[in-house]
Amino acid sequence: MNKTRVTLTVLALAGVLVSSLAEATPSEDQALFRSYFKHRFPQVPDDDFKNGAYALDPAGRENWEAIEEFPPYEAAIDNGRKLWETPFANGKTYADCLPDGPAIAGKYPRWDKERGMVVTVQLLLNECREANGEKPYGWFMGPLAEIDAYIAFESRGQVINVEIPTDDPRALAAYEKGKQFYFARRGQFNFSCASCHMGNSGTTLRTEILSPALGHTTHFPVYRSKWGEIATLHRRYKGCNEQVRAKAFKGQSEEYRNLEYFMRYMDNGQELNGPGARK
Amino acid sequence: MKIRSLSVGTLAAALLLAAPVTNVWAAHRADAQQAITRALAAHEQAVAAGVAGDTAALIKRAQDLLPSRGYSKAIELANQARKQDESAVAKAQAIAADAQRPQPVSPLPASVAVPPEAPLAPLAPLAPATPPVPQPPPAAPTVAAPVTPALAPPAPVPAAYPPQLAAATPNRTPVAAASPERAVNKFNATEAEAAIATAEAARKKADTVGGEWRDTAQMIKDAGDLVKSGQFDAAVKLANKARRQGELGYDQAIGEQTASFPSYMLQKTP
Repeated sequence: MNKTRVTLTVLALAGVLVSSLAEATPSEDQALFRSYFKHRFPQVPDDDFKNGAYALDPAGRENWEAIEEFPPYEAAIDNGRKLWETPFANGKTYADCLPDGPAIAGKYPRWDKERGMVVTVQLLLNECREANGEKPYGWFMGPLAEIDAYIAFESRGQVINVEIPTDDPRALAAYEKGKQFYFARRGQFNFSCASCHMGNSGTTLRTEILSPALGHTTHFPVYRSKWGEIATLHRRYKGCNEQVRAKAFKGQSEEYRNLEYFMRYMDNGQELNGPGARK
Repeated sequence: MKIRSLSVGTLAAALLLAAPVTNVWAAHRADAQQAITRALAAHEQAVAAGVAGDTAALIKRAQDLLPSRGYSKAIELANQARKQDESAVAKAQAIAADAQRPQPVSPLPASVAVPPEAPLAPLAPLAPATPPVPQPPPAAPTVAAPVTPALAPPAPVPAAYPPQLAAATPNRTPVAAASPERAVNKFNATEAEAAIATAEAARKKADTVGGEWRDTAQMIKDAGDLVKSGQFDAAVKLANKARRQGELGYDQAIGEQTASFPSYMLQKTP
């Protein structure tokens, strides 16, 4: 009898251990992610996380709201609209590649089962150009960012709803790679994205408040005063990687697309409010 | 009050004395322009000697920094270019001077490999192999001197001075004395190049796992530039730093392969 009890106890403990080691699902991850920030910043309403550090800093918010009266990204939206509507040399337009556009930001990034990869709006825009005999734009700034600004503006108010299809394990693998990238320490400074935007969110780095990760993808592309122009989310990834002295990846690389997939999934339920203005 | 004014006075005097003789001030535009002018002069000499490398790009980068007031960096780049060109010219001059020096007749040991163009090749026989062809008398007197194999024009300046010749011929003046960099360096060019190659291998290995650091490639390039300017010890030191970055970046990426939600999230979140 004692032997039986011992055996059963061991089996029960083993079962508990196995279940605790099993990978959490993306929805469990997202629930944990949101819960962490609600616990860390109980004073911030759920729909204010999309405003980043300005949800935490009253003085900064006042300045930012004054800037938003005459937003610096307005010219980019206008240029983006013109670029979207201007036909290519062969007479076709972006609407021929993205017929649901331009208000399509809420649908991306998404898993493309046929291609077996995460696709983003920016990737599809340049592929549209190349398919119609045009040279692709740079991934970080310039005309692509301006079209992105126009698409983001037209998509304002949409609620993020990224899906990870269950009928293709590669989609989950891409999500997991994005998640690993987010939490992996890198560079000479040995920082991960989470180092600043989770454990140290709300604290200051020199004079700047580190924004919480929740809501990070809602307001891109962003006009940063530091850059003096509008730029894409992957431009920010590049800058952050280089700031921790890691070699940045190329724009729209698999690493950055997977990272965007993970981060966007964490922002499910948040409202899109791009393009944004930041310091 | 008296002591206080004395202390203030002493401090002021110390600052007035120390400031001009130390490098406490930021670089000035005039300093940067002077450095660029010197670099351009050295570059002209290198071009004239036919040994100019890619220092023109360095000088251009220095010039492009002036509008944005990057004077310190401009001085650094200009000095780097100047040192490379000066070193290249000095090396070329030493080789040319060595090639024109009278050569000893003593035979070389059989184990030494002599390049065909080396001035120490055995003298060719003076008698021609074929009967001379009668030449018509010249229309005007010429002052052309007869050329024999023993007085053949100096061989083209080789890219690298064969070190084995210096070892086998103790009567020759070694190039090392003509090259100040070699006299003070602990490492030589070959060792520096080897250190750079090792660093590059470490960088590539880190890159294969997405773990390369931001500055490693530039450090390797800068080490290569130091070799060109004859600063072998500095090149080895920098290459070793780059190698270490590559190794650490690789280990870091491997160690972070299973990175996930940190434990503090799991503990603090209800």
